[in-house]
Amino acid sequence: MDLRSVFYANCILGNDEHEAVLEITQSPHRFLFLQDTIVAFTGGGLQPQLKNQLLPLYQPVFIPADAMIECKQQTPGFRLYMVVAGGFKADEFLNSHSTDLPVKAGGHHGRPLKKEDLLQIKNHLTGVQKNLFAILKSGAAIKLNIQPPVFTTNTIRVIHGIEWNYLNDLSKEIIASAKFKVSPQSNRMGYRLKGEALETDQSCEIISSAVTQGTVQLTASGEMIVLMADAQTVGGYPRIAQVCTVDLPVLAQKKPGDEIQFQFISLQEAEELYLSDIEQLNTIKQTLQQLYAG
Amino acid sequence: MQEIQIIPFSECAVLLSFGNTVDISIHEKLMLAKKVIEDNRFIGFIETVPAYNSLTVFYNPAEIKKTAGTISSSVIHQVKQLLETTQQSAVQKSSSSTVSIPVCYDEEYGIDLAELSSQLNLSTKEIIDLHTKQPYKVFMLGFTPGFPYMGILDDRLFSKRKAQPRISVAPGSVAIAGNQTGIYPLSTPGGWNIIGRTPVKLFDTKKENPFLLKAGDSIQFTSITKKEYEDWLVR
Repeated sequence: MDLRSVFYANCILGNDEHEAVLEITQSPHRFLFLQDTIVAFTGGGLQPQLKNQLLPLYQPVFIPADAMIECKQQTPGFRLYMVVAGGFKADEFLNSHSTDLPVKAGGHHGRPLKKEDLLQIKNHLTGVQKNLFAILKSGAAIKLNIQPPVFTTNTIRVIHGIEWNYLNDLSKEIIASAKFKVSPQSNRMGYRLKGEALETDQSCEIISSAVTQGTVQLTASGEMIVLMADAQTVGGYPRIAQVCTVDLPVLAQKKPGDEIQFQFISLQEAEELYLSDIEQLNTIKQTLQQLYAG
Repeated sequence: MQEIQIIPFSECAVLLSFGNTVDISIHEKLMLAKKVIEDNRFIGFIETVPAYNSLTVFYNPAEIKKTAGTISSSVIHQVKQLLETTQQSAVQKSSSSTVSIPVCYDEEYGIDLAELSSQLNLSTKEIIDLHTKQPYKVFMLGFTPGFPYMGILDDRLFSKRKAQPRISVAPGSVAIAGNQTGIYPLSTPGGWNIIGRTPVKLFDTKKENPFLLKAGDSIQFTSITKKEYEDWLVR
């Protein structure tokens, strides 16, 4: 869901940026490591710890064999990402290692992890990763000076959707100024928002047409649904807004009960944000590559 | 190709609009445009999503060469030019087939039949007869993998979507909404009116091609009894 955190996690360990990672939410989790491993944690929601020692996020961390990592203490955000050097071995489905829960495919047998599942590392360590491994195992510290991405803001930037003009004038004002709460009836397919109901001047149905991650749909009851990572490809509700790609990771870190507020920007601004974000991510990737190579 | 409006969808997509009706000839025109764009991919092109009367083109903004005020308008210009300069006659249509789909319309599965019956002023039997009397065209797959959007329904079956979508519907549920009919292949949320259930699998991850249907196919629903439905499942 939070692709930016996934990107950071893989870059920090010198993995290919598309290696499979674990997305960890809510309840306590424990992971027993069967061999010496280097891991990285990014995102938020939970604080990983080794015995009583809190593990840093956004840093490469050495975990010795037989150690148990626990993630139970809650922190701001909703999704913690764990990646291992070499990446996790995962089932591939439709050119992806992601778990598709409704379809039951990809990832680890197409389902959430359960007690006593055994995860494996996919690739042999690269030269760079072997170096990193040796340094960390010797007890020397590597401290990366990485500014973690900010996801605590409540502001989600959006542009007008294809059916923006379905909204009546009052509702156009409400959506741009009111706060909306992420409903408990939310999942990886979509976040339902609770708040003041929005109204249209015309029928609240369209002839089914494309939707994608970030599309804000208006249901007939006046409630909004923001489509997320497991979104469908078409839908029949008016698309009143579209979340900017750069703010999708921020939204992914919101949990049921969290409040958000939409800020409308122009298409041109959205494009500029998109390009500068890509540039920033590339810079981080290159800086880390140079650091590890040097 | 005239009468196509191209508008921004997001900072990563533009939408080609082919008017405001569900019509088989419009759909054919749209599928032609899809083929033209896919056969002449521009740099940064990712994929297209066809629907009844719209075709959405996704791209990577970082790879688009900016020739106008915004990246979006540059893509729009490029797609327009492509469609204007390509001879429609040079594009070949792809083949399609007719598939028979058995449906059990028992009220145990057709959980919205009673409500529809009063809403549409038709008996349950009339609804079933109207639904099975003609073949339908598969306009697109979407919503969930393998969900076929089919039409066009008899006017007498025109119904509204449910105001509050169900959180979860049973796989194989056959449903109607507006002048469309469809089948939920998986247990997902759904806002359409459910009138029956098919034992046929529309999406099977174990198959090399997981999809039973594709856009452009014709299908024919046939009514089966509850016993036939159950027998089919254990086959």
